Amino acid sequence: MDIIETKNLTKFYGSSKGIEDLSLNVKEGEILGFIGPNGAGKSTTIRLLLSLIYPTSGSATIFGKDVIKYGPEIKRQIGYMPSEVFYYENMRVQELLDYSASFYGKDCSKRIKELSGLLKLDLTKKIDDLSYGNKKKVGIVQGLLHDPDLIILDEPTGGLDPLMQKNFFELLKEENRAGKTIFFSSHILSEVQKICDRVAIIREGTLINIESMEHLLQNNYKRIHLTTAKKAEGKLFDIPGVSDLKVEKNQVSLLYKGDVNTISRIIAQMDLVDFMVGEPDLEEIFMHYYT
Amino acid sequence: MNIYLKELKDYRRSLFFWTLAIIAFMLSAMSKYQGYARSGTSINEVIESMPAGLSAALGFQGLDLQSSGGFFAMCTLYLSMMLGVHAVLLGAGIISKEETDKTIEFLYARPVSRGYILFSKLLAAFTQIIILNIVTAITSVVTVAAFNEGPSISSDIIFLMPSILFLQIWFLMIGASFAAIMRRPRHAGMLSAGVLLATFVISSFVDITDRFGFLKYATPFKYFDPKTIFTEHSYSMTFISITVTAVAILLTLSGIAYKKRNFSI
Repeated sequence: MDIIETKNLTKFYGSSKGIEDLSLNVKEGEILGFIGPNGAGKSTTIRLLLSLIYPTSGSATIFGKDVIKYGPEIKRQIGYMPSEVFYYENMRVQELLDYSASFYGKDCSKRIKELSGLLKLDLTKKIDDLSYGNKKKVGIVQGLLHDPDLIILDEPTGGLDPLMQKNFFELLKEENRAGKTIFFSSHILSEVQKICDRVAIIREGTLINIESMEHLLQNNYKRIHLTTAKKAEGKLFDIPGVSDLKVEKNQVSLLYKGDVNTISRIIAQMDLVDFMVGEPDLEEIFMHYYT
Repeated sequence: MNIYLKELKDYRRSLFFWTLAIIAFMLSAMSKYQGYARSGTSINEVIESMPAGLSAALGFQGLDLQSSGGFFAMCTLYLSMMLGVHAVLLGAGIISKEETDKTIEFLYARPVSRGYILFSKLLAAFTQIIILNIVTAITSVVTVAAFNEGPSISSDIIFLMPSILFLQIWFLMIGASFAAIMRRPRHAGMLSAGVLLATFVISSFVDITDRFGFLKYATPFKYFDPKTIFTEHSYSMTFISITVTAVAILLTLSGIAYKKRNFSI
C-alpha cells in the first residue's frame, strides 16, 4: 500500500514555480529519501502534504486519504519535523512537548522521557536558550512523541554533531523496523545513502528520478583526480559515464558514474604520480547527470 | 481547549499591563475631576469658549464636566479608544502571530482543523476583552465613587459598559479578519489600528458638523455614544442590529479566508 501518493502535484507562487507535475509514492514501511539541491521544491512538497499551503493543481493522499479533506484525521498518525525549527517564545522544552502531546489525547510522557534521554536533551531549559542543534533535538522529540505511523523529516540533520546524527539515524532505523514509514528530505546524498531504501530526486520543482538505493549505488558517482607522469591524454576516458572531463598538462579531473572496475582498468594503464577518488557533491551530480 | 488555554496564558502579561493602564488612567482622570468640581471658575465656561471643533475632538462637547456623570461620559471616549486599541491589536496579533513567528508549521502539523485554531483563538481573545471590560467597569465604579461628591452614578456606569464591549467586539473582529484575509498578516496590526484611528476621526467629525450626519453609520464609535446612553438611558436597536450583522459577516469572512489561505512561513 502507498502511504503517500501525489498525483501531478503543482504549486506556483504567483508566477514563480514551486513544484510542477510531481507524482511520487512512498510505500508502507520504507524509508524514502527525497533529495535535491536547496530551493528545488522539497519543503514546498512537504508543506503541500501537510496542507499548510494548497496546490495550484494536482492532489495528494496520505494513508489513502486526501490531505486537504482529511487533514486533521491523517495528522494523528504523522510526525513532522520542519527544517528550520521555530517554537513559541518563553516556553520551556517540557512545556512545549506537553503542549504538543496535548493534541493527541494520549499519555506521551513515557515516550518524551525515553526520547529526550536518548538524545540527551535537557527538558528544563528555555527553548530560546538552546543551541541550533539542541532545538533540532526538540524537533525530533516533538515529531516522534505520539508514536506516528508516518514520519516526515525536512532536512533533519543540520546542526546535529556526528555522534548525535548517528544516534538519530539509529532511532529512525529502529522506528522503521517497528513498521514506520519515513519520508526524509535532504540535500546531502551520503546522508540519504546511509539509511534510505529508495531515493526520489527533485530539481527545479520537477521530479527527475525515483530509484532504489541499490540502483543508485550501482551508479556509484565518483569524482576522480589524476596526476600523471607524462602529459595526459583525454581520449582514454571517452567511455559512457564520464563527464566534466578536464585535461590540462598532467592533470586529469572527471566525474564518473558506473562500474568502478571499468574505470579502474583504464586508470591502471596510466603512469600515475598521484591519484584521488572522492564523492562528488550533489550539485555536481545534478549538474552533469540530471540536466 | 489546549489552544485556548495556551493563548490565555501567553497573553496574561499583556492583559495585566492593560489593566494597570486603565487603573492609572481612571485615577488620574478622576483626580482632575475633583479639581474641576472644586474650582470656583467654571470649567464649562472654559470649554464653551473653545472652538467647537476642538471640544468635539477632545470629547467635551455638550457635556457638563462639573457633574460626575458628564465628566465620566467624557472619560468613556478615552476608555473606548484604549479598549478599542487593545481589541484591534489583540485580534490581529492572536491570529497572525503563528505565521509571523513561524510557529504555524508546528501547530498545523497537529491533528487540528483550521476552523478549530481560528475558533480557539477568537474565543481566547473574546475572553480577554470581557475581562478587560469588567476590569474597566470595576475601576470606574470605584474611582468615580471615591471622587464623586454628588449622588452615586454607579448604576449609570454599569449600564454604559456593554456599549464599550460592543466597540471592543467590533475592533477585535476587524483586527482578526485583517489577519485572516491579508496575504502578509504581519501588517494586519498596523492596518487595523489605522482603521480604528480613521473611524475615531470620523466620529469627532460628526460631532463638529451636522452636515455629514450620515457618516455616523460609518464609525462604530458613533453607534454607542455615551452621551446619548447617559441622557436617554437606552441603546439604539438599529446600531445593535448593525453590529450583530457586521460581526457575523466579519466572522464568516475570516473563517472562509483562514481556511483558504496559504500559510506564509
